[in-house]
Formats: sequence, structure tokens, C-alpha cells
Amino acid sequence: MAEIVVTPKGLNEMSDLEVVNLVRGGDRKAFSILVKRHQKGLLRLSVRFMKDVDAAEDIVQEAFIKAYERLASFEARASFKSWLYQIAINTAKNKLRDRFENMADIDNVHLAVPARAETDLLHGAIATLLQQHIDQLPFRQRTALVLRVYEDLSFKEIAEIMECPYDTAKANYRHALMRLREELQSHQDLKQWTEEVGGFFMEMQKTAEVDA
Amino acid sequence: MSRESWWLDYVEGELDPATRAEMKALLRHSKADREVVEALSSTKELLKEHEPPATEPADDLFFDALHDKIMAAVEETVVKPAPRAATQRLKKNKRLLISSGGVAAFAMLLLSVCFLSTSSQQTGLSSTNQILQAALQSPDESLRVLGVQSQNDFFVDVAGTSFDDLNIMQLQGLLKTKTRVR
Repeated sequence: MAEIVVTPKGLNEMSDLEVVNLVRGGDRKAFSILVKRHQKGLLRLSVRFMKDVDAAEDIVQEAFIKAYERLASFEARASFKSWLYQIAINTAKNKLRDRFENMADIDNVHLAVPARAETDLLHGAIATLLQQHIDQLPFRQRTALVLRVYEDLSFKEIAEIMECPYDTAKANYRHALMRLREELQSHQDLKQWTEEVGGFFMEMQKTAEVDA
Repeated sequence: MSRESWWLDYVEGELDPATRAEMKALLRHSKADREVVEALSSTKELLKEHEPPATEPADDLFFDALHDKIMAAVEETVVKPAPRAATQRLKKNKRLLISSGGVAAFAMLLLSVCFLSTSSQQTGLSSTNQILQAALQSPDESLRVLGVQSQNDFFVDVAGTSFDDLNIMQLQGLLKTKTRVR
């Protein structure tokens, strides 16, 4: 009769909560799995809030260390990922506040506006315009927008990260979206605007090519 | 939930299929609501379409190094104990407060009910008048409360104000159907 071999569940197959429990039980090395799973997403998120990758890297490190330190307090009411993102966003907010402590309002702090590929001028022009308007949003509205649109998180997760009720998270997102819509409408017709801007850039590019 | 909030749920796919189907049917008859839906969905699409490109490093070497730095720091970090003592103290205090305050609270409640009943009879104010008075005293709060809609309120509201393509007979028919469903 064939013997049934039961292999212990590998670390990689474990859920975040199972790994958290291992670490709580004294297996410090198991925390490595959580770092590997979430460091990319956390860095991407942090880059959106900070101006540069170095600052974002600091946020990621700090967030993981704070999470490890407070692991005993993690009650699993939210997922580990939401809890970790919450720590990272609060850390980013504090860093931004420190950095711009002379500014009256943290809402004036801009999200990173990355450099665009030269070949994608039109796309870049629209993205820059959108970014300028996103920058004007209050921090909580901006956070809800970034988490929903760019991180594809559910409102439940966003509420957990923002430490607010589900409806408040949704309201923040809705206000952000409606406000952006209003701002964009102030350009009368974005399509027309993009055509104009695109035409201008394309013309500039053609002139540059002819000159070259 | 506000009316806009209902449409946000629609756009974001947060509704159950049955409610979504009903709202989709409503959209056919309401230009104003179609505009809200269009505004929400097109703005989101525009944001997604023109998402700033990733500027974070994508190579494994960077993340390996980051991982190692984090784990080196973790090696020197101690997990802080959960603040259980504080929690237990809080619970104990809470229990004490509830038990000692329970009798007093009940007595206060009885007295309040007696007082309210008497004063209401004396002033002769109906509940409607009281609501109106409260609304006049605090219009902002009243608007906030009025802005909160249940699912049924939402359908009635849309039916009542936005069926610009329907005649009165069609509207009545639709409302009857909705009432039967409920």
C-alpha cells in the first residue's frame, strides 16, 4: 500500500497571515517572505508620494521595520498588505510634512511628476496636465484616488489603509474624481486641447527633425 | 448614500447584478444621470490611460539589495509587545464604569422620558414641527441628512426628477413595477 507523504506547507505557499504568525512565533527569517512579496508594490506606491526613488526606498525600509516592530499589535482586522500600506502612507505623509514644514499645507506637496519619453509628447502633455490637477487635491482625496486608480485596490482595502469608514473612502475618491472632472472641464474641451497641444509638439518635433 | 454615490457604485462595479441591471434601465431615461455616469467613468479612463510611467527600478538586483537592507535592519529590531496591559486596564475601567453608572443612567432615562412627555404636551409641538424647527436652526446638518439616500429613495428620486424622456403614463407604469418588486 502506497504511503501518503504529507509535506509541510512551504513558506511561499503560506498566506500573509500564516507567515505573520510564524514570525510572531519567533521565526524572524520568515519575515523575508513578506518583504519579497510586498516591496515592489510598496516602492511603486511610495514613489507616487515622494519626489524620488531614494526617498521612496527610505519609506519602504521604514515601513517594513515599523511593521516588524509592531507585529504583535497586528490584529488582522485588515489584511497585512493594507496594514503595511497604511504604515507606508503615514510615514510618507510625515516625511512630506517634515520636508515642507515651512509650507502652510501638506496638500501643496506635489506627487512625483516623472520625466516622459521624448517620443510620447502628447501622452506626456496630458499626463502632466492631469498630474497638476491631482497635485491640487487634498491629501486624503489624492490618496483614495491613487490607491483606486493606480493600485486597483477595493474600497474596503482603501478604507483600511486610510483608517476611515468604507463610505468615507468612497466619498474621498468620488470628490477627487468629480473635482478633477470640473478642473478638466475648465479647459473647455480636453480633446480639443490635446489636439492643439499634440499638434504643437508634433510640429516642434518635425521642425527639430528638419533642422537636424 | 447620495445620488452621485449610487452612480459611483455603478461605475466602479460595486453593485450586485440585480441592482446594477435596474440602474442600467434607469439610465436609459435620465439624461442628467447619464451625464454623471459619463463624467465619472471618462475621468477614470483618462487617468488610467495617462498613468505616469513607472519610475521605480525594475531590476531584481535593486530589490535583492533592498530586501537585504530591510532584513539586516530587522535582525537588529525587537518586536514590541502588544499593549495588552493597557487594553485590559481599559476594559476593567469600562466594566466598572458601566456597572456603577448603569443604575444612575437608568434613573436619568426615566426622568428624561417623563420630562419630555410633559413638555411636549405643554408646548403642543407635533414631531413634524419639531423637525422643521430643528431644520431651521441647523440647515447644514439637515441638508446632510437629506443627502443620505437609501436604495429605495434613490430609485424614487431618479424616477421623480430625471425621467426626461418619459411621459407621465410611462412613469406611472414604471413606478408600479418598482413597487411590485419591493
